[in-house]
Amino acid sequence: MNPAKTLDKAIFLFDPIKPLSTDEQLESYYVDRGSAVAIEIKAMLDSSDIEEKTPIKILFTGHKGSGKSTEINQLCRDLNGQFFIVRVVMRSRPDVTYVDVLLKTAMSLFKAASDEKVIKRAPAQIASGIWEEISRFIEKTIFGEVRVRSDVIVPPEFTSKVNVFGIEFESKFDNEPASRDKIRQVSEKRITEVLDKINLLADAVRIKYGKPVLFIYEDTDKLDPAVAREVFYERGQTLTEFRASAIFLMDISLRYSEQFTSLKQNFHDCKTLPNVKLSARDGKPYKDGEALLSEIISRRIDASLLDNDARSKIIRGSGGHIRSLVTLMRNAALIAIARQSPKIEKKDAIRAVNRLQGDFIALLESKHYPILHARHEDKRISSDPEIQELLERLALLEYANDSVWCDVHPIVLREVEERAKAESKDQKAENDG
Amino acid sequence: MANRFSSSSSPTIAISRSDLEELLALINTARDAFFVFALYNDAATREQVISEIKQRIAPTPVFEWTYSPESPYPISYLDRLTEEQKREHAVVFFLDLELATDAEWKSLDYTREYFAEHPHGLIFWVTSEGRADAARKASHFWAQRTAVYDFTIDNSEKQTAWLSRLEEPELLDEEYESAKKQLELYQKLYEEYSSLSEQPTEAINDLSAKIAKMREHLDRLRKSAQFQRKLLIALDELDKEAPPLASSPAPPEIAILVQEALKTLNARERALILLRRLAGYSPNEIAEVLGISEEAVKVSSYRAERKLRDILAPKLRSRDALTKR
Repeated sequence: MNPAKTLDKAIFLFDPIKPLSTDEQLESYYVDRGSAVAIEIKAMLDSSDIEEKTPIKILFTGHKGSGKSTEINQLCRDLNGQFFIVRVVMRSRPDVTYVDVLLKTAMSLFKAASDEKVIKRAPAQIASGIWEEISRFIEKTIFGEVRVRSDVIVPPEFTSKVNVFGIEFESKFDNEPASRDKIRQVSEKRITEVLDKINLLADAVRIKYGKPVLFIYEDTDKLDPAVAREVFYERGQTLTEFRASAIFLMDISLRYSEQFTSLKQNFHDCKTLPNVKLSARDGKPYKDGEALLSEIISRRIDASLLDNDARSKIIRGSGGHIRSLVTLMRNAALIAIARQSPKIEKKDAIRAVNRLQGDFIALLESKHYPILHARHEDKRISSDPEIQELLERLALLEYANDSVWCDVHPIVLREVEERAKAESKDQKAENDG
Repeated sequence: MANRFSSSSSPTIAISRSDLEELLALINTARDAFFVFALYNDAATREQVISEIKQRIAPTPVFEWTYSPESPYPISYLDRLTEEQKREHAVVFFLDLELATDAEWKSLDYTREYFAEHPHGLIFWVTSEGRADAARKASHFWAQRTAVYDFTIDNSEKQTAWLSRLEEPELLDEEYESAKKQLELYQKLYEEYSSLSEQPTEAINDLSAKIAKMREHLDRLRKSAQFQRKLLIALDELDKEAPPLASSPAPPEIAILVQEALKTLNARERALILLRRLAGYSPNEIAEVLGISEEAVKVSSYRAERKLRDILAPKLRSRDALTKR
């Protein structure tokens, strides 16, 4: 896949909804951020000693739009040869529980293993024994009190049977609240059995297929903070009891909560993906960051479609926040298209930046400005709720090198500075008066 | 609201043409799902922009979803589409989401993967309060927006009209009675259509939306009537010889100066000051009745009070000078 040769095409490639996901997209457009986070996660997984029953459980967090999903997708690609990767897609709902997470884990593993015919590599008798056991478990435990629809034809062969049950499970669990409650109630009482079956199949995959299982939990970072606290803090032990490695995406607000240290008991580490810094903590420009963002743009759009001034304006306006960069590029392209220009000029970039700035400013309250100004001065990050709120709103962006620090999103910086200046003038007048 | 020109379809209403052209560029180029918010502060303008978009993107299918307590989740727009419609590029307008509860807003976060699975451009019409609600209550969904397009207009004249009406009880009564009659008619029609063996679904849905809107309008009028009562008392006080602000610690002669200065303000400025300072309504309450943003109430009240201060300042200075002599 080549960089877009027209602005129309560029609109597709700068999409704030979809991360890079397919092999083709990652091959063409992924830019290695050289992030210590990905390297460390790989190193930890490399060192995981599954035989000794110490698989690694990692929490992976970062701000909304910082590029976590794309990083995870690339990580899966990199680790595909080493691990049997099972993606657990949690459809977020307000009532998610740890039981849901484990049931989804079990069903996703059953489905992935049956799809790959993994267990068929085992001698026929063993394979059939494993699938019979799992099929019986789904039928009796998971569907124990929930009726399978009468029009569903359950095939006699066990792997096919598990697949049919898997589809039925997804449908009932996602769409039928009453069935979901029943399945949950029964499964919670027999949670050890759920874990046993995950272990049974994960072991078989590792032994017969030659690769340990690695679960990737997508969208667990989108859970409501209260739900996420219940799942990760209160049920963290049960959640991580299975014998396979796992990476859980987690909302960043939990990273800064007071209970965070207790997470260490159940998870080996928590890695935070920082934004790409464009200047160092002392304010000196950080050229590598700018070059990285420029590379992200160059991979997706032909250089002839973007003036250099516009590129710089967009890069600086993004503050190193990937989704801001993508959104600014998309908007600048739309603005250029609307005025029938074949390429993005500086004025398009300025208008795109101003549009995004309007959104930010409209949502900030007067009380936020002194805090933002103070953080711009000292760059200190803390678990103070007001700072967390501003990080959540992306008015503050988190960066990391030797230490973790934050700065005001450049898109609101001028407003913050102007208000601070006016405030200090008023203060002086009051003192003088 | 930069770069405003007169809308070609409606020469009387000035909207941002550049925002409209950019939104059209997005609709015409994007083939996958996108989420945008369209900011408005005047329902008639919103309808005109929708109408112009429909004309200019034809034959692209356009669907509308309006909030109602019976169908409060935006994802429910898919229930009304055929499988083919779900698969083809289309634009969907979402209206009146401000009426949603927190949980209903939050549903946008929970259902955004379903939204993203369909090649539909989703345009959420919101007031500035709706924008803040979206950002706070559906923050994951909000974070994935392409843009917020601004179709607000300078409606200070409209606000003035609303505020002036507060000083004219007959107008408000008439409007209330007429709205009540309209609501009764819609409700009767709704009942009648619902009792038919072959129910006209489209007409029923349309009536359901109209009933919801009319109830909201009546609610606003009811609150206006309460405002009106307090405001009229305050205005009566202004006409009396006794200082209306007698309960304030200010000397009576200052209260009289304030009364006189208030009378020199226009109806809108006077009403805002009286509603806030004398009747004690919060900016939020005033905003709700006037159908404008809280920020707009704050800014307008601030300006009105500053004007009052500017009128009063020289009078107070000369009074002080006289007292000192």
